[in-house]
Amino acid sequence: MIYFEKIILFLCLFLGVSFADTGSTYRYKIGKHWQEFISFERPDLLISAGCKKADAEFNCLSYSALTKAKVMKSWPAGGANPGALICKNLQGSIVRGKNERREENSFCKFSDKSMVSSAALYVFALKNAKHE
Amino acid sequence: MRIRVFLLMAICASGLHHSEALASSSLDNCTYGRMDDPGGSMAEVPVLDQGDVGLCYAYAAAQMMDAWRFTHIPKNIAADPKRKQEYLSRHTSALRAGVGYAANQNFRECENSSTRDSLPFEGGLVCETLENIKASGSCSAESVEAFVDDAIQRQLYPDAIFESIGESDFLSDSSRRQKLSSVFPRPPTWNLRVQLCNMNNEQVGDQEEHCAKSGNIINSKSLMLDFVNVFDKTDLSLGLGEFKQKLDEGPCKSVEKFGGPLESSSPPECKERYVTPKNKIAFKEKLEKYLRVKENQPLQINFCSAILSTEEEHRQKNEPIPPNNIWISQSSMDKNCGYHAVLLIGQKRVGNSCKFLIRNSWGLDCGGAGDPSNCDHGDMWVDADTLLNNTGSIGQYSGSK
Repeated sequence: MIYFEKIILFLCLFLGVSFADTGSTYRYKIGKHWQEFISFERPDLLISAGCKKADAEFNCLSYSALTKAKVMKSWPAGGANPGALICKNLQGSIVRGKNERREENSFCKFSDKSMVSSAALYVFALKNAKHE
Repeated sequence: MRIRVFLLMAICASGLHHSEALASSSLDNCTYGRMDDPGGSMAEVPVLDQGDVGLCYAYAAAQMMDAWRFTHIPKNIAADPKRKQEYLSRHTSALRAGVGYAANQNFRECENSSTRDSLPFEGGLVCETLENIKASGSCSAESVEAFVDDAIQRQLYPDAIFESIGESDFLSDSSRRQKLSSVFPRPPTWNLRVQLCNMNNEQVGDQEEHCAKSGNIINSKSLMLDFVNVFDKTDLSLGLGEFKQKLDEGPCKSVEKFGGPLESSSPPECKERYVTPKNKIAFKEKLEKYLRVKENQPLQINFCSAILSTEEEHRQKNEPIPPNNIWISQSSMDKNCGYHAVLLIGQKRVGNSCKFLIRNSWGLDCGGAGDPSNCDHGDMWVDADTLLNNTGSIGQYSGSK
C-alpha cells in the first residue's frame, strides 16, 4: 500500500513538473500600454512574449541578459527587490507593471524594449553563481 | 535622529545577540487565518513591487494605512456604493510617504546605506512614516501614476523624449543628462543626492570623486522617481524637501488628499514593540491569537530578509549561514541580515510548525526569492520561529474606532 502511494506521489510530482504552467501568457499595464509576457523555465518567471520567436527559441536582449545576471554582494538598504538591483547592473531600466487587479510586478527593460521579470533575473543570477 | 536610529538598530542587534531558537509554543493557536481573504482588512490592498527603490518601510506604512482606511470607511461613503468603490480604488502612495517621512526627519543622508547609490530616503521607520501620513494625509498612488502617464503622453517624461527623438531610453546616466540638457532650455533636475556614507563600500572613493566633480550625481533609479525630473527644469539641486513640495504641488494636489485617520475623531496610533529573547515566546503566542482574525489590522515587522532565502541560495551567494539561522544576532545592520520591513498578515499550520504570512513588496512572484512553494501570490510563508528569531520589532496601527 505504501509502495502504491509512493508511485502515486511520484506521478503527481512528475506530472506537476512536466506540465508546469510555463508558456502561459500574462498581461501587465506598463505606463498606458498593456504588455504581454509569457512564463518560461518556471511558472513564475516572465519574459516579453515577443522574445519567443517562430522557431520557439528565445531571442531578445532580456533573454541574453539572464546569462549575465550576477547576485549582489550585499543586501541593500530599504529591502529593494533583489532582482531589480541586478537589472541596474545589466544596464536595464526598471519598470513596474500592474495587472487587472492592480497587483504589481517589476520588470527589467532593455534597449530592444524587451522585458524580463526581476524575479527571473534573481533566479538566474543564483543559477549563474552556482556555475561560477 | 541619526543617533536614535542607530541606537534602535543597536538595541535590536544586541538584544538578540544571545538569543536562542524559540521553543515551539502550542500549535493549537496556529489556526488558519489571513487578512487578505475576502472580508479581511487587506482584501482590497494589492501586492506591490518596490522595484529597485529601497522603500520597504514606506510600502509597509502605505499598506497599513490603506488597510486601516478600508476597514474604517466613513459611514456616508460606505452607504453609497459608487463613492465606496471610488474610495477603495485610491491607495496611499508609498513614494510620497517615503519622501515625506525622510524630508521631515531630515536625516537620510548617511543612515542605512549598504549600496553606494542608495537614495536619501531608502531605509526608514514604518511607524514614523505612518504618523507622518496621518499628519498630512495620503497622496493617491493612482494620481501619481496618472501624472507619470500624462507626462509620457505629453512627451515630458525623459524616457519618452528619448524615444521621440529616436534615441535609446537606456543611455548611461551621464548621456541621459547630456541629452536632456539639449532638449530642455536648462537641464532638469536629475537627482536626489546620492549617499556617500557607506565607507565599507569599495567603490565609495570613486563615488566621492565623481561627486566632487559634478556637485550632484545623477541617480535616476526607476520610473517612479524619474518623473520628478519633469517638474523642475531649472534647479539642479533638488533636495528631499523640494521633492516633497513638487509632489504636493503636482500629483498629490490634483485630487483632494484623503486623510483616512484624519477623517476619524479618534485616529489610531502606531505602536512599536521590540522583540527580545525574553519576550519572544510570549510574542509568538499573542501573534498566533491575533493573526487568525482576518479583520485585524496587519502588523509591521522589521526583520532580516536573509531568512527568505533558501540554504541553497545562501551557498550560491557565499553567505555564511549563522548558528541556528539567527541572522540578526550578527547585527541588524549586517549586510548579510538585510534589514527589511514587511507586514504580517496571516498564519497557517504546516505539520508540526506554524507559518506566518508576510506581505512583502517584491511583486506577485516574490522577487524569485526562496522556495517558490512558499510564494503565495506575492505573499510569503515563513516559519514563525525563524521569523521571530530574526525580528527586531513589531508595530501595530490601532486605536478605537
